Amino acid sequence: MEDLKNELRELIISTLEMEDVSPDDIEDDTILFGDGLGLDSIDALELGMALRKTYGIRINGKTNEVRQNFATISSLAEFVAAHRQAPE
Amino acid sequence: MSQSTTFHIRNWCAWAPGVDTPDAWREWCAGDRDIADSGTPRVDFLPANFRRRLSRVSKMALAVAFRCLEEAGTDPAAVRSVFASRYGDVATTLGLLHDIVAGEPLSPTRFSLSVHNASSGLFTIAAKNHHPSTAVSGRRDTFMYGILEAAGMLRHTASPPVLVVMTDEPLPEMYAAFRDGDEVAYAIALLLCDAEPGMPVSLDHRSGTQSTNVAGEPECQALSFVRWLLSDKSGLTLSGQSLDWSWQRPRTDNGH
Repeated sequence: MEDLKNELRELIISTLEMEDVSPDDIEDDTILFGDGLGLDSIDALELGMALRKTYGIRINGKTNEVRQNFATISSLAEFVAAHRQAPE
Repeated sequence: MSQSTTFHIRNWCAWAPGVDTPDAWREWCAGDRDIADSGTPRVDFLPANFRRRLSRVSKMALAVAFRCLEEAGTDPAAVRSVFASRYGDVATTLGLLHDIVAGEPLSPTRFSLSVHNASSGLFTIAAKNHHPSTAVSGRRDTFMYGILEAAGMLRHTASPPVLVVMTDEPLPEMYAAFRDGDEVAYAIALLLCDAEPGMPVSLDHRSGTQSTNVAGEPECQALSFVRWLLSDKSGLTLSGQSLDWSWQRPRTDNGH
């Protein structure tokens, strides 16, 4: 799980071109959206696309608890571990 | 038929790779300095989470926009604005088209900022500016149509002043057949107002001789205009796609 969390830190930084942020800046429980890391709805879409490309996960806004799953690195790692498939 | 309008240029500033100060532009005018092939202006004054999404063209636009207003002592929230670009963010658009062809999903960020008024939207968000803002494109005359749009806004209502921002970068290799003399990246911002302070200018346009000669086209209008601003000439005529544009100013003022 730690490896996956670090992978997700790198994925967020590279996908969202956060050149001023290092993986160490994102704690397991840093709030990703809003006040914490400061991500917004466009970032959520961008991140959803990256999860699809990297882990074969399709985000369904109606059935997945997107807000909860995308809250922190910890929740995102649990979500990815439970739903990952071979990349498309 | 001739249409004349008058206004004041309160301040202007220009950026190109390797040419980003008034002295550097003077050297460029004298032929002692060339515009480089690559380079992006720093926009560290913008918040990191805002800055990271900007394409090069948007960084160029916001860099000159904010610098021009800061030098003039004008609140960025207190201007109307016109963003002119012949090609806009064509590199981003082409990248999206490649993704479609490859069957890849489109980046929401790049898609949302690929529209022609992206820089206009980004500027007004960054400046918390609620005044009218528009984006124009007009073939070889794009720069002058941007100025004309601003002059029209000033004629309609004298205040607040109007910021004109013109940016372009060379077309990607895939569109090389459409290149038309605009082979360098550059951005220029001008703050126009209807009264002092500023350099008074008058602008005239009339039907010109339609230019059909693509090879050997003259320099783009915005860069010819910068040459004129830094010269001691009182008049300038820019030949466009189908109009001739004539500028006049008092002989003594060199614009800076």
